[in-house]
Amino acid sequence: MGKDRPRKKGRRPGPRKWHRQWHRYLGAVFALPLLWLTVSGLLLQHGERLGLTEKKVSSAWLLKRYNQIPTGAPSVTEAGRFLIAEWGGQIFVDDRLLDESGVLTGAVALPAELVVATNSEVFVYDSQGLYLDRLGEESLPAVPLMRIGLDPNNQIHLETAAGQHVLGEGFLEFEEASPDTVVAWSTLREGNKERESLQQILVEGSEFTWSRVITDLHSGSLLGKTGRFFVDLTGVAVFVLTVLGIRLLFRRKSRAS
Amino acid sequence: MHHLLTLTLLFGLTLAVEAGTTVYQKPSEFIRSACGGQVPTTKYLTLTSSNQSRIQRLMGHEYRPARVRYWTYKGKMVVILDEIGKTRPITTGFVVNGGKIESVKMLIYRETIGAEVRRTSFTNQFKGAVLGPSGKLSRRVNNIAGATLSTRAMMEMGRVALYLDQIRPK
Repeated sequence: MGKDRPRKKGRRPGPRKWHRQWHRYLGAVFALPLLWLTVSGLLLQHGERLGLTEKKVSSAWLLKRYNQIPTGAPSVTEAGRFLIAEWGGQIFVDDRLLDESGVLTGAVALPAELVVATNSEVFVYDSQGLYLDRLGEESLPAVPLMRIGLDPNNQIHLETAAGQHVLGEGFLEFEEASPDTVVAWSTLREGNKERESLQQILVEGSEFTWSRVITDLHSGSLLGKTGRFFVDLTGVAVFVLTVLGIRLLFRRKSRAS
Repeated sequence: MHHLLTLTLLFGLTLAVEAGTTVYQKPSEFIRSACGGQVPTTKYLTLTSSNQSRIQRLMGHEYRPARVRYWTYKGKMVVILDEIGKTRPITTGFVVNGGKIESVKMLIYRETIGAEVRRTSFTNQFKGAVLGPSGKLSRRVNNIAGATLSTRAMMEMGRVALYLDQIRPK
């Protein structure tokens, strides 16, 4: 580095010294963020070759940040040999995450079928868990469904604002139920005990790839607004460092000549 | 207090699940409008493995329910189908008469973008379409920019609706 011009006492530092100081400080402060951007940029550039577009995220912490794992307690009920759970609108039967979703109201098991009710739909599965049928608003007495239960004749009862109805064979029709019928209603409980295993199912079934995480690391989005602001700041710092660096370089050259 | 907390949690979850869902017409209202103001007796088709494999060819992927509910009125069939657009199902009502699509209406949309497929200028393109021997619709359906996946889902459902009309008992 060239020597600075001797400075008279009481005078402000010259522009060259000022430039060099700022160049040094900015470089020191933004060295780490720049390294972060460089590494994440390289990873993105070669993500496909490195398998990042295929490799699934298995970190529960990261998945929670992406709202892939719900907060709060799951709702759980038992129907025959099945354990049915709902967590954040996602429905699970035993250790399987279903494609169907909704707010679980209850579930009942028939000899050959499992019937899961959400507040707006009823899903029917066979005893092996194969998806058979869906009863939407058009096939139900009313929505939202409040309760689902079974009577001693294995007939399904639904309770809605329109009253209590019993579903006919094949669940094609329904009629008002007699108020004297004894119904075993499905009840929900908080599934704090099952929470860990449900989280594991979500982690294992996650479709989230590392390329998404690296993209968000590169843009700072993974750390929210603060992260994005910091990446913006780093961008501005790179711009300032470039301008200062060029000025320092040309001044020295002109003095040398 | 404990029950109050549970109810609050359930209500919150309901809002979270329903967020982003737009009901343009209730399925029961669609059936009524197509069936002279009433909901006829529900019928269902149990899909055999050969039906399933044909539907798989029409849609390009497996069709999950083993039964499909439909309603008939004066020879026409009304069916409500669900198909994933990008990540969430699009619920659409089809009226098929004499092997031709008579009307299409998007009933419930759950995706964030692409709801333009509900416009009559789009759904009218399906009118009169029949299922060709190659499994394609006889009428060309123009894509909507920005709603490619929803357009594709609607066309897949259109093909399936026509196929269901072919295999239903008459």
